[in-house]
Amino acid sequence: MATEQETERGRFTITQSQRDRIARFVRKFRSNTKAMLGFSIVVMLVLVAIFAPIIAPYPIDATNIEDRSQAPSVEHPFGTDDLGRDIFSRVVMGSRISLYVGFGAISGALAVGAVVGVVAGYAGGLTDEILMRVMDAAMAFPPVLLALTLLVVLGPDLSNVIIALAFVYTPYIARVSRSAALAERNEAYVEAAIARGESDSRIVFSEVFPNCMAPMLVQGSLNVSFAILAEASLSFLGLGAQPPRPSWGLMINTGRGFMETAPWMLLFPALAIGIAVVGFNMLGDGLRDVLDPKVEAIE
Amino acid sequence: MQENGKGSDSSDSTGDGTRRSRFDRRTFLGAAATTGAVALAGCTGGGSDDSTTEDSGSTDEGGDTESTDTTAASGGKQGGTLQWGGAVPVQGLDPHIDTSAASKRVLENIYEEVVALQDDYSIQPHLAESMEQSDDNTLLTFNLRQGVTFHNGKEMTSEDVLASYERVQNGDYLATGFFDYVEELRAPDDYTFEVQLTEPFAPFLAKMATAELSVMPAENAEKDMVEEPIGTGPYVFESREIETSFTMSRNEDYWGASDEDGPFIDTIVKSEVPDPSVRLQSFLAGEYDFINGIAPKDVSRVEQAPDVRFEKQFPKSLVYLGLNCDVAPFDNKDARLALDYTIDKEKVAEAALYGTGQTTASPATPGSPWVNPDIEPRPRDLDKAQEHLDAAGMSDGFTATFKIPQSYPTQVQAAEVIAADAAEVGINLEIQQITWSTWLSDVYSNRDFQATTSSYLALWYPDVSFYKFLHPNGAFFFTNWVNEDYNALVEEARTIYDEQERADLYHQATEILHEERAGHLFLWWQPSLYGAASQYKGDIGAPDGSTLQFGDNWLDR
Amino acid sequence: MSMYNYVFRRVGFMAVTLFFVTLIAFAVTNILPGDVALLILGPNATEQSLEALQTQLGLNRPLYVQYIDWVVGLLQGNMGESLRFGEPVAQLIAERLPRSMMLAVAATLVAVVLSVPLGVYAAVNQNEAPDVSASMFAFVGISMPIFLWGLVFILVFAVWLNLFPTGGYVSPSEDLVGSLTRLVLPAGAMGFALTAYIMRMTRSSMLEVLSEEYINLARAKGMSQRVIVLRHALKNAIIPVITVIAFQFSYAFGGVVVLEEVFFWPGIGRLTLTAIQSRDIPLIQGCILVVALIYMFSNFAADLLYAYFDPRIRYGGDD
Repeated sequence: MATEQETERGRFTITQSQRDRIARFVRKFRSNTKAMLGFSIVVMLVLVAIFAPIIAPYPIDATNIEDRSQAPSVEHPFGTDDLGRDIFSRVVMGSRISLYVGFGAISGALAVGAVVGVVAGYAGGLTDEILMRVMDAAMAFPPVLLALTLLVVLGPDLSNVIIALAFVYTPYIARVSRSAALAERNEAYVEAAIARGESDSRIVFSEVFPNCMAPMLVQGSLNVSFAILAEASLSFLGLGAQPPRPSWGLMINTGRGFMETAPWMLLFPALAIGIAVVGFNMLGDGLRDVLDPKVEAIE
Repeated sequence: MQENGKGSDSSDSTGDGTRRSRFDRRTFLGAAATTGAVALAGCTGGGSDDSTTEDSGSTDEGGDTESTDTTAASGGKQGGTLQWGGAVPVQGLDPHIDTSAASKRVLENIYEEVVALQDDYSIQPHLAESMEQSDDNTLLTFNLRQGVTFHNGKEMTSEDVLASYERVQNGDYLATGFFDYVEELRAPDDYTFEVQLTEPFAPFLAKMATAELSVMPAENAEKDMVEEPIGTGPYVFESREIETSFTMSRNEDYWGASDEDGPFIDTIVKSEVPDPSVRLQSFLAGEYDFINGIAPKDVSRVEQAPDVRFEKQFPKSLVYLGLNCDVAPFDNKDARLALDYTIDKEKVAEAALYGTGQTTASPATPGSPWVNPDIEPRPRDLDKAQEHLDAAGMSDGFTATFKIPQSYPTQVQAAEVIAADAAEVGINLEIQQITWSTWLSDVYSNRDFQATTSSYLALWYPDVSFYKFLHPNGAFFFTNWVNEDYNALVEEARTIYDEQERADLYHQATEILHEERAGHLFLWWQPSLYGAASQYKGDIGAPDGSTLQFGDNWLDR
Repeated sequence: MSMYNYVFRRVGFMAVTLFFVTLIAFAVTNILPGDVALLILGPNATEQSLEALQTQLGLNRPLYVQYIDWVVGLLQGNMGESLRFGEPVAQLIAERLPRSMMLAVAATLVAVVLSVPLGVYAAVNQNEAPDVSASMFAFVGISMPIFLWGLVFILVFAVWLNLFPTGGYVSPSEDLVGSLTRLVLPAGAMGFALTAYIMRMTRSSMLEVLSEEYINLARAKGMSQRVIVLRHALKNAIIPVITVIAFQFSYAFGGVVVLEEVFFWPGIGRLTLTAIQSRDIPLIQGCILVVALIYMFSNFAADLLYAYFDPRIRYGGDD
């Protein structure tokens, strides 16, 4: 992890070297096609989500049985669903749900996972062993299965999806941040801090932690795409977002029953998921290349 | 339980109208009166929204009970294997315990009862040659058929009937509650079976026609739970693989066998194909001779398919919106009325059923004399809805959770339309899809809900419609709507012999249901929908509208 | 640290992990809402019969007693009896597991058949059109979830082209052709999703090998490109690929829950869903435990292979 400048930089102010680092990062990021492409897709998604109510031409809940299951047309570019709702509007509004869940769950996982990982990595010994074995156990379940089981306990609801997915992805973040913390621990600046007699918690949170951010961000951005997918899967199984919310997974679930007669009900939300996931994956991949090619994210 | 489910409803075993019933009160009606000729010719099409199914022979009168069959099944071809693509997987195999329609669909062919329901909803002797009822209606005497053998080769005698009934009486089975009205069960000789009631109690005979009082060999009746069904029916249980397949074969020694009425088919293999799309596609590809549980949205595809027979048996079940009258906001009659006025029932039924159903304001079977012809579902009227909201002191509307069993796409569709409509006056119904088991425990048992949807099956008997789920002592009561006038009416109806007089009471009761906006807001009646290949002959279905009897079906290959 | 020590240590870790896995499986299922006794008896059960059944099922004992009983049972190969099916959980799982295995194995086969040649081809034509398009393909493959591939496959191959059934399962012993035609789409969809990873790995591994000395030597000797690639390079490049395949198998297995639902494939994934939906606690416990075990062991096997083949791994380093 540690680059040549880190050992000599000051602790509390942004030094020249840090500014250099940021500039270098931006430069590298810009020249990385994958990162830029992913970044553009993500920015576009965020913009769509923010301006969704303006973009969407129809109210998303207004049913209109006469116009049910209409093929794509000028009026309804993505067609209408089984209750006559405009699919384009619903897909556009659905971006909010996907991003909300994706970012929400991963922020939660980052918050918990980073603390667990950094503490484990820094403390080492028994604390490390216990924490990491618990994380291993949680990782021993296929993610969707674990989230599913948790959701049955918590009840089907979007905020519960976020909680369940945050729980599921915590160990992934924890693992990565632990490795990073482990590496940092042996750095000179940490030893210097110890020598200065600083408390462990201070060292962890103001020294080690900030330096573990890069790999966590990479892992986090990859995991956002997993979380978006997982939300779709859970909603597809009926345990995530509830109707009439325009969750992409839920729309796919309904659309599945109409594949023969109205395939657009399935195709457009599926396409939306594909684009979102490809976007975050590219961004994550690109970030990994840019920040440090040696960072091993867990896929 | 109903079968429009997309298939994950394999767990819904007890949600239907055939669950255990406890009649806590009163009086017996003469068999003639209770089983009154309701003469409902099976399929009456889609009612007001008129589905005018131009399909091939959808006016099927729902199958016939094996041998008492009177409609001409004009001799079928013997042999062959029927490949049946089944909707909901077969559940338990003990007829006295299991309540799922899916299990009944196979058990109806394996087990038989002393009396049987007919297409005109009358009850006729079946395993009995004749029956007599004493003048005071408390003694029922059945002369059992001779020469009826169980699938294990043993002859059926009154001892087996007695053992089967005593099993239910002394155990904790679906029909156990009915035996509160039984003073004694007797088997004076090998072919006579008597039921001595404590007082006249009409529903007993109707219950005798259901699988809850199927006749099993005495040695099986000793078991707490029967896992290998042995009955007297036209088909013999062969094997099953849970949630994969279920196989029955022709009973070579069936007592009622004849060249006219079968049984004809050698083997019936039910493949469990819970998803309606997969089932339909496989059927259209020729993999199955027969499928049940066609999704309403697919009806037009089946109708248009060449060489396919589409069958509709109406009515099968009643779907309703359940409102909890014990908790806010629906403890307030005006809140219930406000919601009622926001719903466009025709639109809701159309959205879910694609013209295969019929809206209703009565729990009584459409076409029966028990339906009050003057009462119609409330039309959508947002001004009136607002008036009632004002009267309820909730002028800005209110919010309530809306728990929907997710295995029923039609109910989910309906819920979405209802929620969107209600939102226009500020009534915010938050849909929550729940599994069937959660519905049973949370909504039904703990009554922890504000609004929900569900359905009832097998409402051919008016007491089931009016008492079982709308009277506080009824076995299915759960919406907490209590009205003493209503209760008095439906209690009295159980004691009335005269059909007209009885119908009058039910009409008055329906009026109260409507005026007071009872906790059950009826949405629609829906049919059973079947598809059969051209080589599959004979009437499909059973008189109760939801199960299947294959006795007189045959394959023309 | 030697390989043996490494394996030993990993097995030790696994045992501890396993303990936590049983704990999680037990804990999660025991806070499920919904009364099992009520579910069995139906909504009109009396209080007494409910209590009697709860006692009979042991549901009213302290949780830790239930846990210990359960673990002891597990060690004896007894996973309890399914509340819904009334059959031993082990038997139900034994019935379904082979079907899921069949799917996962077929998917892995599909993936290998597709990805290895593609990867080799991409590596040989590095940075040229075939390589770039293969990389794009791989990326899209990775990004789309398995269940979406499943749905797209159904739409294209079953609904539009009408080549295969949309789903369902037929036992191969009953109808081999019917069984295989039903296997094609789910295995294809899953295999397609797995292809991407394996292809990527094959490509980079091939690239690495192709730059080695001995390959250059072979070239200098005038061996044909074909012989070099197929006989020499691939043989060496395949080792890391095998480990990736092992990883992918576990990934495939994790994906079966949703995929089986998409294709109505009655394997352990659907069994788990059914169990969850009907609050069949012993069955849920059994299913998630078995799935977790398979997931864990195939990951473990992959780790070992990886460690065995890759000298860069420091045995005993952080895992």
